[in-house]
Formats: sequence, structure tokens, C-alpha cells
Amino acid sequence: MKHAIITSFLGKLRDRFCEYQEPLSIEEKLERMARIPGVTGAEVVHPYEVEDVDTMRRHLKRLNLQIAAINVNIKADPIFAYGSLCSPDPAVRRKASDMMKAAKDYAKAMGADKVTCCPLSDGYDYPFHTDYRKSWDRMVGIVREVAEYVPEIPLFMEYKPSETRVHCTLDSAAKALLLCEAVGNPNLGITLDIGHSLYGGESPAEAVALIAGSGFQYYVHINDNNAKWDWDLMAGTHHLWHYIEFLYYLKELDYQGWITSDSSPVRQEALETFAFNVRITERIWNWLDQMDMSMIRYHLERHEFMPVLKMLEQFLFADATVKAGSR
Amino acid sequence: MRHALIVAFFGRLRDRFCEYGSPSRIDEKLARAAAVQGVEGAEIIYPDECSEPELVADALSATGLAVSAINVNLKSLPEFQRGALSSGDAQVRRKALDLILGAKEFAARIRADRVTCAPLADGVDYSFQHNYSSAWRRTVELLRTGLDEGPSLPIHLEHKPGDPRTRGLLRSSDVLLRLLNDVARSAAGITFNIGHASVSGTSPAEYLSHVLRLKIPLYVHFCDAAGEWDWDLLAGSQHIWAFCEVICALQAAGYEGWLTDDTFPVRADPHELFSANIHRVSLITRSAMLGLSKFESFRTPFPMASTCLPLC
Repeated sequence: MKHAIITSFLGKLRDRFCEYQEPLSIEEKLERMARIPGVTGAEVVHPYEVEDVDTMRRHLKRLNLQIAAINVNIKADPIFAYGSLCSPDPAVRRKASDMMKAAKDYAKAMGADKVTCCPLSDGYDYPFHTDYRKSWDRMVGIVREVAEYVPEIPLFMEYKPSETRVHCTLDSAAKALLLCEAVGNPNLGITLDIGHSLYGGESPAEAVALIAGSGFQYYVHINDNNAKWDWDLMAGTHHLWHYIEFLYYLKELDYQGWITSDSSPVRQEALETFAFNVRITERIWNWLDQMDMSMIRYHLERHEFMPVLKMLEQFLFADATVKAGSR
Repeated sequence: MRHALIVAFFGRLRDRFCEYGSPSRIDEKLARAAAVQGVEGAEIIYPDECSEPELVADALSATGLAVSAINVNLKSLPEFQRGALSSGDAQVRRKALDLILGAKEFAARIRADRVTCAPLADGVDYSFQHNYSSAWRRTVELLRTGLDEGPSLPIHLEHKPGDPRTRGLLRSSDVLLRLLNDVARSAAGITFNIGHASVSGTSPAEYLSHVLRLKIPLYVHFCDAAGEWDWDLLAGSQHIWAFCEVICALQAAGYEGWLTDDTFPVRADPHELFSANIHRVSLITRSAMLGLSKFESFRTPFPMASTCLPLC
């Protein structure tokens, strides 16, 4: 299992009301990352966070880290406030596609194997805010154009129900698959963020099964939330059973990619936050290895969840005694 | 009912990923607020917008705006990140109390009628994060002190489901009413936020009915929410009938206080958005007055809002 972190979470963070942590250079963030046991990969934000290729390569080599993904940010520039890929303004769409292509160039030069992109400024806030059909066509058009550019670097599109827009255009696993199918390029993938899936009302395990069944590539971000908002909390802290189920499916699907932490350490120590993510994930992963997976498959085929839950209880309550007479 | 604006919305705004608008001085914000037709009042943030009291007083005088409330900010300072009123750290609570008392002094000085406070730093993100009983007790004690000391002015607490905490201490008006019962001070009031009471599609009129029943000092913020989040949207843009219902309920209860616009103009021109908001609320208010006689249908099992309100 390969663990990575989105490096921007190791520097200055903010929400609508507060600011957290200190601003750090990419080198300082990578140095912090390298101190977290089990973490070997970095997802870095292009173009705002990265340095030139040679410098970045030196940092990564010195710290024994790899690039998990290049994350292209097409939301922070004020020009994108009303949309990027779906913008009715061709100059804005051009800027977005140029940034995505530049991220692919950078990924290739860095030896990275993917670019990931979450188009959060694309969507709407009110009824009658946008023409949904034209917005979708524009998104399909730009994604097709970028997917064809430097095809050896696949483009992974990340879905999210909302933020910064009240409703994001690319809001679910199913919608992301519709996009991939509309574009029709196998060099596309989907970044599945467990938190986005949960607060979008999905079961992350079902979502990853759906994506894997489509044949499109996928990449995983982990965190948790209260199913209302993308709080980017520590993995498994709110939806432990869902997280175990999700990891079960990753194991069943023989996922060999990165498990990238997308947790926002706003009111707790950052390194402890990510160390927890790695630990809890490894514990569940290794514990699943001790389970009789064929029995889980057997029960799932028969829609028998109670026997599976009884098996899973051992994970949480292995040392707890059960009083006589209880079942 | 009189219209006011939270004037901070005329300055620099931000969310987690983007920034909007430009930084502005308080006199500029007040001038922009006064330019919105129908606006008579301003809600001002303490201490952020009150560092130059003379400038505030002069700008109020120049614009003719009244102060609907002084809003004491107990969330932005780094020491409040893990709580303010409920903090386990006595120094942090002392700082929160000093700010409340400072806000009361400032409010008295510029003849504002109240201090309002949304204690958004108070709450939790995870299970096992704090002791709920102790946090509640500390909040009650601090509020009692804040009400008992300093100028004799009401303090209105505002409820909100979360943000920046995952689960806010005062996450609903019902929880807040419970708190005010424990605080047991007649000057402890509620800032009822219609948008916060609309998160998750709940009924703000139903929540408000409990506030009205208990005759708690009332001050009102309005906006709309979408889904599970306080987006501070244009009033009635997501839950039009729920918004009409709560305005009718205020009207029926004889509420004559401020209706303060708490709409977040991040991808819209603030002047245009606030003007549209106030225009819409004025239409609904007038419709409610016209339909108040039919409003008796509130007592029938299935009132038809569209027949009560000549909106269309």
C-alpha cells in the first residue's frame, strides 16, 4: 500500500473565517511530509506550489519521496470565479485548458504518471444560473482536448458535490463516468475522494465498484466528514464501517495505486493527523488480510450482511469480552 | 420591520479556495450600505471594524444609518480556534469575555440597541474531542458574566449548524433556547438566522414559533441555504415557500425589529444582490400584510400558501 499526502495541507490553510498553520515553501512541506511514517508520495499543486523540475527532483530525491499526482488548480484565479471548463467565455476556457496542458507537461518532465483536476468553480448557485446543456458540452470539449494532449499522462477528473459552487457540475461518480464516456478517451481517469462521495450521498465502496467496472482508471483520496460538508477530517473518524467496506473493495479490485490523504489539519497537529490516516488505513488493510475474504464474498452474494458485520466486529472489539447470554 | 445589512459583506470575502471583493474601510462600507434602497441600519463587526470609533460615528452620522447590532467576533483570532465561550482554557475565556464587554461598551457609545454573537469556534470536529457537560457549563457561566457586567444591553446569541467547527455548540435555535433557559437572564436574546434554520430543508417558521412562544428578545438575520450548508444565498432562492412562511410568522407576531441581510455576495455584485434581497422581502412582507386575514389558515390542517399570499 502506497501512502501520499496533498502537500498544500502541510502549509497555510484557511476557511471563511479563520487561518491555520504557517505558510511554508514546497521544500519545507516535503520535509514535513518525509517525517510521517509510511508516507512516500506527494500530490503537489500546479502551478501555485511547485518549483522548477530540477529543483523539485532534488527535493524529492533527497527526501526519498515520489510524485503521486500533479494537481492542477483551476479554481483559485479570480478569472475562474464564475467557471473554468464550463465558462461561456472562450478566453476563460482557453486559460483553463492551457493550465491543464501545462500541468501535463510538468508531470511528464517530473516523471509523474497522472494529472488530477477538480473543477470546483464549474457549477451554479441559483436556479436559472446557467444553461446546463451548454455547460456540459463545454466541459466535455475541454476535457477531450486536454485528454488528447500528451496522452501518456492520463487526466484524472475529481468529482465533488459542491464548494466553491453551491452545485458543482461534476458532482458524482456517475456524472464523472458520463463525462469519461462522452469524451471517449481511455487516457482519462477518475479521482475518487471518499469525503466527496460520502457527503454526496454515495457509498464510497459502491462508487469505486462502479468506476472500476467501467474500465476507466481511478485514483483515491481519503478523509472523512459528517455527510453534510467536505470537512476533510481524518479517515474513518465518522464513517468507520464505510471506510472498512471501501478498503475491502480496493483489496478485491487489486488497487495498486496511491492512497492519498486529503485531510485538512486545521485544529490539530498536521503530522499526527496524517500519521493517523496511515495507521488506521494500514490496520484495516492488514486486518482484512486476516479475514476469510471468500466468506465475505459468499455472504455478499446472498445479501447476508449480519454474518459479515459479526466478522468485522472483531476489528473494533477484539479484546472485549461478551457477557454470557448476549448474542 | 426595518432593513439592515452586515456591512462586512462590502469588503474582502473569502472561502477555502478563493477570495472575492476588495478590502474597504468601515466608512466606505457604510456609504455603500446606505446606497442600497430601503436600508436603514448597519450591523458592524467588533473589534474588526471598530478600531476607529470616531470614523464609525462620523460615517453613521453622514449616512443617517442606525446601528442594528454590534456583532462581536469570537471566531477569527487564532486563540479561539478550539473554542471561545466553552474553551477549557481560562485565559481564552477571559479574552472572549473582554471582547464581549468591549463590544457592549462600543455599542453603548454609538447608541446601538444590542450586541450579537455567533460563537462559531465553539463546537467539535470529532467524537471524544471534549466534555460536553463542562463545555456547556462554562458557556453558561461566561454568558452570565457578560450580561451582568458592563453597560446594560442585551446580548443576542446566534445559532448555526457548523462552520468552522464540524458541529457547532449552538447548532440550532432549539439548543440555543435551552442555553438561554440555563443562562436565566432577561437580557439574553436570540439572533434568529433564517438561513441557518433552513439548512437541511428544515422549517424556519417552526423553529421561530418556539422563540416567539418563549418571548425571548429577538433579532433576525435572513438569507437562504442550499442542501446541508449555510451558503448565505439570496432570500427565498432555494426555499421560497419556507421563506414566505417565516416572514408571515414574523408579521403575524407583530415583529417590528430589524431584518438584517446576511447574504454573502461572493459571485454577485453586492449592491445588486442586497437590493434584490430587500425588494423581495418587501414584496413578501406586503403580501403577508394583505394576506394576513387569510393567514388564519395557519390554524387549518392544510393551509395553501399560494392562496394566502398574492405573490404571483
